[in-house]
Amino acid sequence: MHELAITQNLIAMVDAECKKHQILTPTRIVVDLGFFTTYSKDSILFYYNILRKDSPLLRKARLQINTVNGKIRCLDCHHETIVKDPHMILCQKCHSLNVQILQGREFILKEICNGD
Amino acid sequence: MCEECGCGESSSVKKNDNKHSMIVNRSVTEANDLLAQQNLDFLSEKKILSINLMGAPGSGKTTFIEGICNYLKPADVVVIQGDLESDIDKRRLEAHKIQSYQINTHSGCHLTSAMINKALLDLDVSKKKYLIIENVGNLVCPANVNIGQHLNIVVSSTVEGTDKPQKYPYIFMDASLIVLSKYDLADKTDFHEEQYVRDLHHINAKAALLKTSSKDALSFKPAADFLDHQRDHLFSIHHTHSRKKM
Repeated sequence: MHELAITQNLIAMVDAECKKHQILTPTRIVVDLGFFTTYSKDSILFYYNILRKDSPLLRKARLQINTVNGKIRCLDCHHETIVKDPHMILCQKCHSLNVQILQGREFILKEICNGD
Repeated sequence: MCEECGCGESSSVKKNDNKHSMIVNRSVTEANDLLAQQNLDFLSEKKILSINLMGAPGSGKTTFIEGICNYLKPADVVVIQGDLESDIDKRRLEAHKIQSYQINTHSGCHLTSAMINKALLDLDVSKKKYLIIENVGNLVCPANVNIGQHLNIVVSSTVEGTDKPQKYPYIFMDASLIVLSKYDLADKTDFHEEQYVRDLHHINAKAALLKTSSKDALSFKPAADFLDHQRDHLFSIHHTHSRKKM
């Protein structure tokens, strides 16, 4: 449900960056979406494909969403773990629950490609 | 000029197999996050503890505010209420002499930092110690959105079921306090406390867990003490005498 607003934000940002760098026909928009966010990749793509119909700039631009792993660091043994299950946020090595989230909360506009 | 192909673009534009790609690296949420930080700075400067109160519709968020205001001075508290429609909760709190500001999001599923910013411009918070932002009842969307809070509290009631941490882990992940509300009804439902606590612990082992019941006014006192302590700790406030209502 909240993906509509965030996709509108993304399109506004792409629009501004394309204007700034005089990109007239972007062909691919690359974003990184963190594992720990509650944004649905499918919903973002769904809204993007609707919204871009109203945007001459984005008519040929495909949206590529890369999922960023959730990564934690154990504050007891310092081991870093890739979290596969959001219900088990614990150190893979020593099983401590005393951990810090390092990665996976981001939603980043990474790249705008022009010509592929 | 582009260092790689000399095409006249800035250095953030790189050539890639006869194609151009521009590295942007900007957070899609940056506009909201920037305003959230401004809200937070404004509140910190005034030593107002800002709380993002989240939970499902009917979990007991407004009851929680009523309950803790028996132990915090109502005059120290200001509440921003987020609901799709109506000012029912605002009127409910005003009956307890708690200053309240209603935001109706209509179709919006969560509050944003811009909404809070506008509310802060409209409100006089100069003599307040606590800002409680009661977010729209929802266990999904508010989890992602910074609004300018020092801490998150999630109210989760026993009647919603044991499985809430398993089904909605993200809302619990960043909470400093989880309030297990309607605790008096735990034995009237099939709520399994041990399982609930274990699941919660695997998602967020650092959060405090407090049990409350609207039938037991005293059950809200530890939560009021928790907020009092958090504010003192955050703003390095030292007291020479107790200020709490008994």
